[in-house]
Amino acid sequence: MQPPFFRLREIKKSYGNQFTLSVESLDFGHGEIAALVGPNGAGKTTLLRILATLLAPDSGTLLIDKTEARQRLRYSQLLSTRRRITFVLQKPFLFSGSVLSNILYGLKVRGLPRRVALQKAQSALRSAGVLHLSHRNAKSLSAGEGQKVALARSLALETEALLLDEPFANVSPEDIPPLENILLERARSGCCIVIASHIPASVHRLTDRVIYLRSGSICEEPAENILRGKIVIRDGEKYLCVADAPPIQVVTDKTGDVTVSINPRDILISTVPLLSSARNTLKGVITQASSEGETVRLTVDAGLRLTSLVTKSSYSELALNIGKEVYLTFKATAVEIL
Amino acid sequence: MEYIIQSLREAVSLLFSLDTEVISAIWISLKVSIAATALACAVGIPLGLFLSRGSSTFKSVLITLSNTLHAFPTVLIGLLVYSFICRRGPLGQFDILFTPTAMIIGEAILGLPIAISFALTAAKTLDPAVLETALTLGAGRFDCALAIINEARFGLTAAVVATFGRLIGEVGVAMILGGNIAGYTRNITTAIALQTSKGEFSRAIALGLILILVALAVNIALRFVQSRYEVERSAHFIPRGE
Repeated sequence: MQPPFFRLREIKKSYGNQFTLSVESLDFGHGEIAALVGPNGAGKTTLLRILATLLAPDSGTLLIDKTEARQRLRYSQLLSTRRRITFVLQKPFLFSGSVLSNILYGLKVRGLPRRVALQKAQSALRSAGVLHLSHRNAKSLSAGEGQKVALARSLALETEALLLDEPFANVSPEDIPPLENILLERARSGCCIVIASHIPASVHRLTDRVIYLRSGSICEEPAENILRGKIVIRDGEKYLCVADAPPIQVVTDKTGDVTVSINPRDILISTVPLLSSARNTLKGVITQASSEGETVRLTVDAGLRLTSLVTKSSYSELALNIGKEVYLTFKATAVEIL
Repeated sequence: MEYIIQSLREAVSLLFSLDTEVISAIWISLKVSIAATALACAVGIPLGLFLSRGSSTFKSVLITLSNTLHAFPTVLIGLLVYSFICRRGPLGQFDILFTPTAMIIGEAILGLPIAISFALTAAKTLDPAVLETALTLGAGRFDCALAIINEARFGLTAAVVATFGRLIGEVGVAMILGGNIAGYTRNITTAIALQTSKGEFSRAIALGLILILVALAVNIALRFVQSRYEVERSAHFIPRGE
C-alpha cells in the first residue's frame, strides 16, 4: 500500500500557556480529501501551517511522503518539499499587480518557461471561473473574487497536496459547487487535500473524513449545544440553570458554574409531548433547518437555542418546518459536562 | 522688507544668469548627495529589512544605535570622520580629506539611520502574509526577498526620498570634510553659508531657492519613476484576448 502523503506523529505546538495543539497520530493519504472541523481557535490553522512547513512543531515528527520535514533540513531539500504543497491562507494575500501576474508567480519561481506558465495559469483561471478577471488589478477584487483567485493561484501549481483554510468563506453559495468539483477532480488524480472549516455542513459534499478539533486536540465529534450555567439542587435532583431558560435536569458531581454540551443526536424531536423515561422535555419553535447529507440539522428555540439532527424521512413524515412548534426530549445523562 | 524683495529679485536674475560658480555648486551638491544616498540606501535598506525580521538582543541593540544616530549633530559626524581620515588618522594614507569622496562618506553615515528606520518601518508594517504567501507558492530565499521589496516599495521609495532630502540640505559634514573649496567641494549649502557670512544676502537667498528647486526636480524624477513602475507592473505579463 502506498504510504500516506502526510504522516504526523506526537506533534505538539504551544503558544504560551494558552493554547497547545496536540496530535498523537494523523495521516493524510494521496488522493484523499480530509476536513478539519472545529470552532475558531481549535487549532485548524496551526495544524495546516505545520503541514505547510510554515511552522515547526515544538516536538514530534512530520513525514511528507516519507521524508521528514524539519527546519534543520538542508535548505534545498526543504524548498523542494515545500514546492510539493500549496496552502491557501484564510485571508489570502494577493501580490500587487494583475490577477494573472499573481497566478504566474508560483510558476515563475519554479522556473517554468513563460509559454507553459501562461497556459497553466489560464487553465487554472478558467477552471476557477475567474478568467475574466485576468487583467484586473489584484488589489481591486472583492473578498470572494480574491478567494477564488487565490485558489486558482494554488491550483495552477498542480502540487501533490493542497491545504485550504476556510476556502469558501467569502464565496457566494452558487459559486461553491463548481469549486468543489475541481477539488474532487484533483483528489481523483491523486492530490491530497486538507480543508479547514468551522462549519461542519460546508464540507460534507467533499468528504466523509471529518476530523474534529476542539481546543487543540482531535475529538470524536464536535461539541455542540454548548451551554453555560449554574448547577442548582432542587428536591434532591440537580438542574442546570441557564439565564431565564427552563432548567435542565443533569447527572453530575459538579456544582456551581459549568459548561455542558448536548450531542444533537441525543435530542429527540416530536410534535406532541413524549411519555418516556427521559427527564427533559422542552417546548420550542424551529428557527433553522439545513440539510446535511441524509440528515437535517434543526435549530430549535426553546428559551435555549438547541440543535438536533433528524433523518430526512422523519423530517418529512413529521411535516417539520421552520416556525413549527415541537417538543425536544433528552435524557439527563445526555448532558455532558465539559 | 524692501531689502528682502530686492534680494528675491536679485536671486531670480542670478538663477537665470548661469553663473559658473552656481552651476558648479549645484553639480557638486547633486553628485555628492546622490552618491551618498545610494550608498546609505544600499547598506541601510537591506539592514532595515534584516532588522525587521524576528527579534534578538543583537537586533534591538542595532536598532537603538541607529535611532541614536538620528540625534547626532552633523558637525559631530563630520568631526568623527575627520579624525579618521586626517593625515594622522588611521585612514590618513588615503588622503581623502577635503575631497568630494570624504563628503560622500560622511553624508552616507548621516543618511544611514534614516534609510534603516524607513526600511524597518516599511517592512514592519507590511502584511506578514506576504512572506507566507511567497513561501507557500514555492518561492526560495531570493524570490521571497524580491516579493517583500516589491510589496514594500512605497515605503522603500520613501526611504530613498527622505535620505536624499536630508543629505541635499546638509551643511555640517560638507563644511568639515569638504572644506568648502570653490569649484571642487563647495556645494549649494556651504556656498549659502559663505555668502551669508560675507553679507551677500541676495546671493545666499538665490542659492537657497536653487537648492529647493533642485530638491523638487529630484523628487519629481523619483515620483515619475515610481508611477511608471506602477503602470509597468499592472501591464506586466498581460496577453491580450484569450
